[in-house]
Amino acid sequence: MPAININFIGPWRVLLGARTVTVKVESIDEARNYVETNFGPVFEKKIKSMGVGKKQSIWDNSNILLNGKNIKLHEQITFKDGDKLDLLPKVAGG
Amino acid sequence: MNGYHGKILIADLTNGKLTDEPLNEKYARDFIGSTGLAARYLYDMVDEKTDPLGPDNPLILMPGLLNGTSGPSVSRWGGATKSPYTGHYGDANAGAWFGAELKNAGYDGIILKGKSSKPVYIYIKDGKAEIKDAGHLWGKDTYKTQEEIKKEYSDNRVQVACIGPASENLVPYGNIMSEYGHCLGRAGLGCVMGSKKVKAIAVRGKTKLPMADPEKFREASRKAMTEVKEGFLSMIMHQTGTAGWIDSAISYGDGPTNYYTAPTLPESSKISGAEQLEKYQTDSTACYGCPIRCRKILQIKEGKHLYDRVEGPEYETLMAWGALMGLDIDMSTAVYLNELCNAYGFDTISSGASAAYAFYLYNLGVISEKDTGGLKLTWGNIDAAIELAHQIGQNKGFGAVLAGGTKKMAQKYGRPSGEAVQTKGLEFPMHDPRAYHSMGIVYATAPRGADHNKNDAYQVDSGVVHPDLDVEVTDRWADDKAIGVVKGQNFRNLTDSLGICHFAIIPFNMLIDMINASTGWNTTMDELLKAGERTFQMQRALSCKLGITAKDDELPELAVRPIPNSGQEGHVPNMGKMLPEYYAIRDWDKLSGKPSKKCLESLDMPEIAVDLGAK
Repeated sequence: MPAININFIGPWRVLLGARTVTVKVESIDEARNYVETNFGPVFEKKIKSMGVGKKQSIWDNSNILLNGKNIKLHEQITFKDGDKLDLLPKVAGG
Repeated sequence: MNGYHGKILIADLTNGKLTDEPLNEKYARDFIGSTGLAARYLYDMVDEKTDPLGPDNPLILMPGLLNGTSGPSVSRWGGATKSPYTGHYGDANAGAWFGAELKNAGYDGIILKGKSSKPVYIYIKDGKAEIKDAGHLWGKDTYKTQEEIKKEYSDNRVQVACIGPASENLVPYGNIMSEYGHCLGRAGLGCVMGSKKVKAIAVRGKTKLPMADPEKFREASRKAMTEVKEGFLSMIMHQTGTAGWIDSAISYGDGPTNYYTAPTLPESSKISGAEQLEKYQTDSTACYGCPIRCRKILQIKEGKHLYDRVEGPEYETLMAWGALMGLDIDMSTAVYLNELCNAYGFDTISSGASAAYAFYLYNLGVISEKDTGGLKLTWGNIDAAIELAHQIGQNKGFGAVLAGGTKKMAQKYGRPSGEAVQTKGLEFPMHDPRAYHSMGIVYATAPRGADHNKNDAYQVDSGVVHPDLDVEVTDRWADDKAIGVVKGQNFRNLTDSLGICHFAIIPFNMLIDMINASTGWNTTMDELLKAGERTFQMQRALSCKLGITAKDDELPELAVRPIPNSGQEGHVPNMGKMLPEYYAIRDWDKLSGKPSKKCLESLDMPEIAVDLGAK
């Protein structure tokens, strides 16, 4: 199974308390599961501390770049060793 | 007249006369408030011959409809004038507290006319206004000016909108500053205020706003407040503010670097919102009525410039006075530059872009130390950038050249016009159309010139779209953007008129309830969006009246040169496809650029169709 780096960009880094994790996953679905399972509770705790009641998904609130290039969330992709997946919060403004 | 006080203040500075005039009810119903309503008043008052710095050019300041109410994030107010910078229609809007306090002071707007022979300021409290001497304030920076006026009234809740030395010195992109660092930033509204010798407008009051159904309004605004507070965008903006976008801008190639010629400077991450939150932030603060609290309070304990408590710079300033000049700056310098620009009181986008263009010309060998007064403008020279900020604020030396902006600089140095990255004379904000093709259409068609607030289509292309607005999110490099941009512009013109912040996503049903409960109207979302469209088309008509034509709706060549190996991946917007589609949807004439007679009439503006000679 390929090892890929998942990078939490900008605000995600602060909210989830991690900059990069290396994980062994083959597909986008597996990457999603990994992120939601391992960081979902961190995110939930953080947003509760901000007084927000609504449950939020990390993945659904992210734009994803694979090796710096845009991918669609529904795209079927098979990873290879060393791939870099950037999660950017789906926000913009300024 | 519910939702409004029903009066505006007319200040004739030439003879020192203040009068109250009834608010034009039809204009209010059709254009609602803030920049929309201000532009409609302006339409009747200026033409091609009006000298922007002459007594006949009015400066019109207006709160958004919901300013001063208990609605969420309803702080935005605006102004309009004939721009001394671009020579045609100019507007700007801002957050903070001035708009709400102006409404509390009992007015729906202020129109400054004429010219005072000596420096003055205007003080308004609870429906009464007076002109006061400002000789002791002239020459002071925007921070000192605000402090002194608050001190004069021993009231920290007096809200002051003022100019700094830049606008006194008639820097064409001088701005109007309020609540310390929050400005009507673009198009030179401050310069017009300076030409009238009005140093400041101070407002305070507790005048009750008439409302059709106050209880229903409270109920709707309570629900809307919860929605805004719990939104994902709100949460992220609360954490990292607008500077939080920097890291994404690096990934997407959205932050122009080395004057639009290089991939976004990765070192900009050092001044990002995430970095600010981790290392420098001690507190956050908010504009009027806003649960998001995206404004950062920083403490800078290391670097050349130290601050115990200072408001953090916004994204636009950090990039314009950073990567655009190739500056690898630390937080201390970024804050210092922001404070410098704010104290002088000038637009950080146009000034940063003009300084960056000078760096570009210097590095091409087009200009030298002979032109710059000895400054070596090699990419990344921070000391030179700081000196340029001083010179711009004082409108002297090489800074006086930069104060004219990039369009005039290209002319002065015999450069191709497509090298000056602006449209209609106004420089691009820090969102690159090669990263988001929709921004190409937005910049090309915005009435005042390149304007990222009408609309922030890069948000949509990043997946941030109002769930009730029928706009499809497509690939950021797709060329199917025209319809989405039209809808987004109409919506943004509406929210600006209402005074709602772009970061507050309020469900349409709650928005309608708030508006109807406030005004007593029986409006619908379709009608409100039509008001947004009407406002946009009227502002376009005003641009055309002041000399803009279809040929001005173009992107400069430098900003559409591909940059491979960047977050832009070498993409450039296909304007040849998108612009004609946009024109067809807007129903604009291909040569004159004017909205058609049919279009203006369908939006209930037959008088503008006649005045404009629309076909």
